[in-house]
Amino acid sequence: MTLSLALCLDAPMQSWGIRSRFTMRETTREPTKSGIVGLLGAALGIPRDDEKELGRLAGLRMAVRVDREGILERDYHTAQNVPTTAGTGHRTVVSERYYLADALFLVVLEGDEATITRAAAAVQRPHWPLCFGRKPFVPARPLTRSGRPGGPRTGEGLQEKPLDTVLHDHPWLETRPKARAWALADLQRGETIELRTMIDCDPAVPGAEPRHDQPISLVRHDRRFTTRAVLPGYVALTEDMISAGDSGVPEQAQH
Amino acid sequence: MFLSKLNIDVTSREFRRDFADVHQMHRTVMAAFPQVDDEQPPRQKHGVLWRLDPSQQGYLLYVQSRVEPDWSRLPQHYLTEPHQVRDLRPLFDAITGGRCFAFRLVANPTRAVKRDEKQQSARAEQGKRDQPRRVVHRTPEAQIDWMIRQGERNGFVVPAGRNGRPDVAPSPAFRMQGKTYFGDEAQKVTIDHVRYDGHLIVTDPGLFASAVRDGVGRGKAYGCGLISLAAAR
Repeated sequence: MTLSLALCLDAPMQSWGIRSRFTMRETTREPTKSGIVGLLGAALGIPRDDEKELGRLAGLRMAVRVDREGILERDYHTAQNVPTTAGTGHRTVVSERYYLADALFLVVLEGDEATITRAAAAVQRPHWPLCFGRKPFVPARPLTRSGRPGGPRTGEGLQEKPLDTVLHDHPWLETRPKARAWALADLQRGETIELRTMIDCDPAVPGAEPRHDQPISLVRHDRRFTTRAVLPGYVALTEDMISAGDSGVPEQAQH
Repeated sequence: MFLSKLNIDVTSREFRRDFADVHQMHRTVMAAFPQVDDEQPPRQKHGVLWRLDPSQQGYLLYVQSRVEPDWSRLPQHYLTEPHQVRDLRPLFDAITGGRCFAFRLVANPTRAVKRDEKQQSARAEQGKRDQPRRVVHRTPEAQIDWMIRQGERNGFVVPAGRNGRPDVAPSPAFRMQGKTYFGDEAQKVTIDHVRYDGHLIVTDPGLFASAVRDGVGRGKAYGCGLISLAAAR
């Protein structure tokens, strides 16, 4: 039996950098492996230099489903009174910090059962506060169901299904009544709606793309990564995925 | 020439898809124009240029074209209010020598970087031509230089502002990505947008009018090259 862990990543702002150094801090359009390993590491209370424990998390297979594409935004950020390298004074450093606004992701992890089970419990009771790429980018919803009835629509948490099955049948995480009604109407008119996916795969698979975000160490100022391969693809949104996951509680009013 | 102003509904699923994939945005824009049956690519034939401008509510999409577009073909929930289309003839009539305009342009200011031998041989193996890599200008100085060179080619100059520097402000490169398909083969598109706001003075009306009509720089299918003009402030 394969165990998977389904997480919901919902926040007004998220940032998933791959090449972010110094004054250009970019974000990719979906969560990075290093970002998710860091998130679970924070939940489990794993120190940044514990390469053995981080290696366990990094060894999990990851897949992302984009339930709502984010909008790329840019922050103009200044830091004042930064000492110059010559040591002769101070200057103001301007940096460009990009983030995704209003994005919504389903992240599924599969692999070693003990690691997955511990991570699932830790996400419910995190050791350190969780954030999506930057400290102030905090989750807008719990990442997984608490198991108590009447909770919000979110990630199903631990599931006895392989990762690919979860990607295809996990409830759609969109909560906005307008967006849900539009999508339902489109499907009933016979249109297909595709959700973008990114799945860890073997580099030899045709169409695989490299991503330099497989973490080895997350020590500040000495982060080290290697390359993994991802396969971009799509899964079809179905009416079942829209209606499933309703716990009978009226959705929050959204503006 | 026509200019369309479209108020985008940023909650629209199709807009989010287009925003995440610049090639999809190109297709959405081109769907408003008739099919062509001759050799010329449809975007060039219809003279289509577009630009996304951030607005209070989200985004405004401006589209310039030679023929009148049919925006009824847009996805159902794409706009927050009905589209507006206007004739650009008065604007072209106003382009005269020595006239000063306020302008806005999103461009892809690049320079050519020669590939090293390893890259060249790798490309040769794939049967690709030896073309230099195009690299976007990252510093404001280089971005302004690029703008001034465009002016030399396209019949305008950027006047000096109050501080004695060229009166144009570039905002940082915004990376747009997408996928285009040749048959079954997907190819990645990456295009960096740099936004210019400033003033220009027309030196050669004929040359400048054709630059406004055809766009400037690279990436014209992907939201670059459309010059918008307004009365000088």
